[in-house]
Amino acid sequence: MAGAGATSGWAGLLAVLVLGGVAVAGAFAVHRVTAVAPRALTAWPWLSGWHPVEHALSRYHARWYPATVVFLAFDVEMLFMYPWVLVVADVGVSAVVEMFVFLAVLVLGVVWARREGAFSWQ
Amino acid sequence: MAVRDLLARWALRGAAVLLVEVPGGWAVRVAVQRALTARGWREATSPADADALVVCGVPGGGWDEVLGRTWAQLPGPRARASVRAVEDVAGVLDALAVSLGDDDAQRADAASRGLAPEDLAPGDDMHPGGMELAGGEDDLRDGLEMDVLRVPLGPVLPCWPAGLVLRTVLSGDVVVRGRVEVLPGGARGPAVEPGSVDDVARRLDAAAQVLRLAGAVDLAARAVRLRDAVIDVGSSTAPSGGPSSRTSTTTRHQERSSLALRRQSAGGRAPSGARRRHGAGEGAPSLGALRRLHVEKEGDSQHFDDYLRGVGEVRGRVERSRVLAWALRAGDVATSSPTSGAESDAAQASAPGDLRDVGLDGQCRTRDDVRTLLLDLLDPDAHDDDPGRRTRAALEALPERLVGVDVVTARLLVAALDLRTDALDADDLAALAPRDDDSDDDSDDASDEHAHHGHAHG
Repeated sequence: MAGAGATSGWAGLLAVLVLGGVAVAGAFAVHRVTAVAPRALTAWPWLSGWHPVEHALSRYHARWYPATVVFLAFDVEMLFMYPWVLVVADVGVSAVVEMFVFLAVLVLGVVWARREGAFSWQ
Repeated sequence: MAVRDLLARWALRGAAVLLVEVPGGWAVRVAVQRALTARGWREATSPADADALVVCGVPGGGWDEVLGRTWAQLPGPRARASVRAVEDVAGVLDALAVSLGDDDAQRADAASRGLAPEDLAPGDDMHPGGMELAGGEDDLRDGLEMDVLRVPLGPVLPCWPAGLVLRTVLSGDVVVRGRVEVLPGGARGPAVEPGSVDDVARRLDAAAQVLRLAGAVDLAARAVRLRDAVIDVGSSTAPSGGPSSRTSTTTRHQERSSLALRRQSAGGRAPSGARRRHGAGEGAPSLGALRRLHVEKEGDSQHFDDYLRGVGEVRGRVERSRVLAWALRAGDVATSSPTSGAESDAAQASAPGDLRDVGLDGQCRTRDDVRTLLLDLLDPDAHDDDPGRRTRAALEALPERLVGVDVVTARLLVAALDLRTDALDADDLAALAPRDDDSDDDSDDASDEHAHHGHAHG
């Protein structure tokens, strides 16, 4: 029975696929047979018995977007610091200086964003 | 087909029923709730959740539209019934079960109804479903220029006073404005004597609703059990005989009411926020009426003491519960202090309904009020002197009180106020009648002539 042993992996996979397909098809068939209507009911949003006046799609103030970008910038900055801590001891003073110059540039950006009012939430 | 019948019967074991209480239908609603529990059915929270729609009471003018729209939102299988008297409850629920289990009829119903609303238009990006997008308004909140939404609360809403419609304008989840309307019942409910069994039961019912809204479902269930016990005590004094006609309820009610002690003038030590509490603990009418009923019925006051202990326990747990304290916490703040850089600050500061005038205080105060009102509802000595007058005053003050409060707190507050819309007289109802008072200018919804737009598009 060496041949059976070699093909058993594929047979198992096939069985899973067939059984899964039968299960999905069966569930669908049961739904079609038992549901009072094949399609779902489409209804307006429920507002305690009233008709909606407007669509509730909410649009945000543009101020949220700069705030998001500022957050992303600082999040990504942390990515640079992970490799940096691994080599900073070997490279020495120059690595420390470079990183702090980089951070200083970022902080300048923050100061600018703050002056523009990007962080005033209220 | 056997499978279908099997499934229908299985589904019927736990049917969900959407209850709509019409002013004057309190007793019927409670009877239906009790019958649902006895059957193992449950209350639905929305039409999409419901198998059946049950209208409790006699709807007056203005209800047809609301009920029709709600009915159209029930997915099949569905059933609908209207209960006008407590005696009819069992029969109506039986009929509902038969109707829900009739697979052929349900299929015919599903085939005959449109599965999409007729007024649903294809729309485009700026008009999804043919509907206007929410617009901005003069910024009332915190300089973020959020869209405002007009959202009516009620009358088809769980844990909500019968027939009350609160037309809110929301900025985010915060109420900017509100207007109160009442859809009247077709028949006035029987007057509830202060301190009568009905009054005690209604206050427990209101407490249960607040607790349910606050998420304390087990405490709410205990309050409901106490309410039912009180109702049983009241009805057990009725003339023995089959509850067969509506006249029997009336006599029963009169007898019950006559057992209420005469009202006392309100005591002077009422704390702020608690508007109906009696000076003396011992002789308060609610207690007196109940005790007399019990002694008449049982010959002793055992049952009565159990009731008192039950109320005390629920009240104590409300006072001690950390979860409830957290749910009704004061620090849940949605509004904020003035904007720092908004150029239009000066212009906005004088705008009517500016939320920044209310700020943090409004929210804290309202949540505190809810807690005070809830404890007051659970106070066995408290009673309602004049529910009509109290409800009218509360409804008048409500719109202003809700400014700056979030939707959840608003619902808690409305439930805790224990508004008795069936106690309002004709003048009040006329003043609170639903009305179209402004321009339906840019609504392209032809079928929605009666949508009571709270305010013009901004």
